[in-house]
Amino acid sequence: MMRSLYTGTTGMVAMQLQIDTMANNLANVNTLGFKKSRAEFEDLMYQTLAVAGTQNEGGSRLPTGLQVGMGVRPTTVHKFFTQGDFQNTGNQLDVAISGQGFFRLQDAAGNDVYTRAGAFKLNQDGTVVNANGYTLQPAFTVPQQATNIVITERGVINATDGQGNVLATTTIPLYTFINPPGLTALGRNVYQISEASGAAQELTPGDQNAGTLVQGFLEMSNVQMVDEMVGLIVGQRAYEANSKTISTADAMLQTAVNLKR
Amino acid sequence: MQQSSISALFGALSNETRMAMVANNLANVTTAGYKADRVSFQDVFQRMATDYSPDARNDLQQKQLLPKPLVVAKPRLAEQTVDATQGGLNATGNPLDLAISGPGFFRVQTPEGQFLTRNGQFYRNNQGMLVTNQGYPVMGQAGPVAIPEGQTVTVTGDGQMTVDGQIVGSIDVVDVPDVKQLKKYGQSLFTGPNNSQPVTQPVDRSKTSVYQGYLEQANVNVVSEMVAMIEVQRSFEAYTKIISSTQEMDQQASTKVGETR
Repeated sequence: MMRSLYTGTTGMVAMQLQIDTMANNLANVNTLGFKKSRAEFEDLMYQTLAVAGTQNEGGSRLPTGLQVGMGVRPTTVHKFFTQGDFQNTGNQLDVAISGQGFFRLQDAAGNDVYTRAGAFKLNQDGTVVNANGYTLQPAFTVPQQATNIVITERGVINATDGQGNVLATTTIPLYTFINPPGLTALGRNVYQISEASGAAQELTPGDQNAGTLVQGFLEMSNVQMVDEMVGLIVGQRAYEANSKTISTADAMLQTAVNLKR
Repeated sequence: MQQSSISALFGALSNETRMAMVANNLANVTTAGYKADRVSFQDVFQRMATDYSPDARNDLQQKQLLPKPLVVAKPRLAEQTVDATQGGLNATGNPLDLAISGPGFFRVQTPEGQFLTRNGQFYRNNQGMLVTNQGYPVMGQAGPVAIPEGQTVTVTGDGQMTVDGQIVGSIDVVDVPDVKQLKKYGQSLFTGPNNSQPVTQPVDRSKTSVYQGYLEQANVNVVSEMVAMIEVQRSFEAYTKIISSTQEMDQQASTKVGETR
């Protein structure tokens, strides 16, 4: 059968992934701390029909070979951990990270997960948690009499009463990874360490490349609407071009089949 | 069988291979650093058996007994070349996306030796090494490039890499004496003939520079591929038409000639 039929198929499958990735980016355009993904591709193997350097009929050596490519395949869906835009909320428990670090949370099962979405809340015990109830590490409980929570850019969190007396205090560390795109996205705005990401490095906010904390702000997604729209156009057109490959190959096959009447 | 059907068969088969190449180009239209395949044809001259008849002896009263020696052209794929023209640069903003403007290739260390690539989608792996999508180390002038964790990675036009102002290495960009000698390996890699290590030479710095935060797009021109596809399909149809006409003629010869009336 015709190679080009299957080559066109690989192209359509790859473009499907491109559109799927873009669709997820667009769906999360308003998700706090969301990091956009990009589908990446590479060419598939080649079938060598004539080896370069073999002798031709005239006795001289062929300067180039004859290789037919078998299409394309997706390699990775790469997450981009660039900074998202900040949004001013004025809420005392909204904290944005300006820099590369992550907050560490503990989920209900006691596993460590990491996030950049800093929209924290208090649970029924006054402990700082995220929207899913995962506790911010180290756990910080705001006493009932506290009226004010102050978070400095260096990560010190103070709960104070009306007179300005500090009732409870702790420092929130930030965590960095040597290869953040290697983190496993678990959904719900949280990530888990993988073999590829490297171990989490605990840093005090403001040190090295951890970044600083900004109270009263939230980090928006880093999805650029225009980029995604252009990506959708490119993906759609490439998909169409590859479907044209399939229909052309099919038409050629049909002509060949019609030879025999 | 008539010579024309064999000639047409060759033509149809050549066009099928060309179709496979067009399909591969279109499938890789979004693959970073992909270089389009071009194909050229040559005619192969086939001499008829009558060439070898001693001509003069067959001349009875100045009349030729055998038809004139015929030369029949059979179109055949002659060579396939990699179109090395520059692809467009697409700004991604990712500091580890590198594009080469001008001739040259990145060197990549694979288990099978050092191969070349124009696909600059690089990563920092969990050991801090600069690697490709497949995890193969990208070679610098002094071995693989390691990037310590840091805030900003800067790559200058000549490939020098600095992290927070500290020079950490230099990405090696090499040229090849003859691009036609390169063989596509798949995975966006180029090898020398028979998967050997390609012969390289220093790159001409006045023509080549490295761009950080950009990716080189495939140099596939969708319009010309579409036109090529129409051309392929129509000439395939023409060749099959020749085959069926020949078949008709053969049929007529075997049924009509010598028919008793």
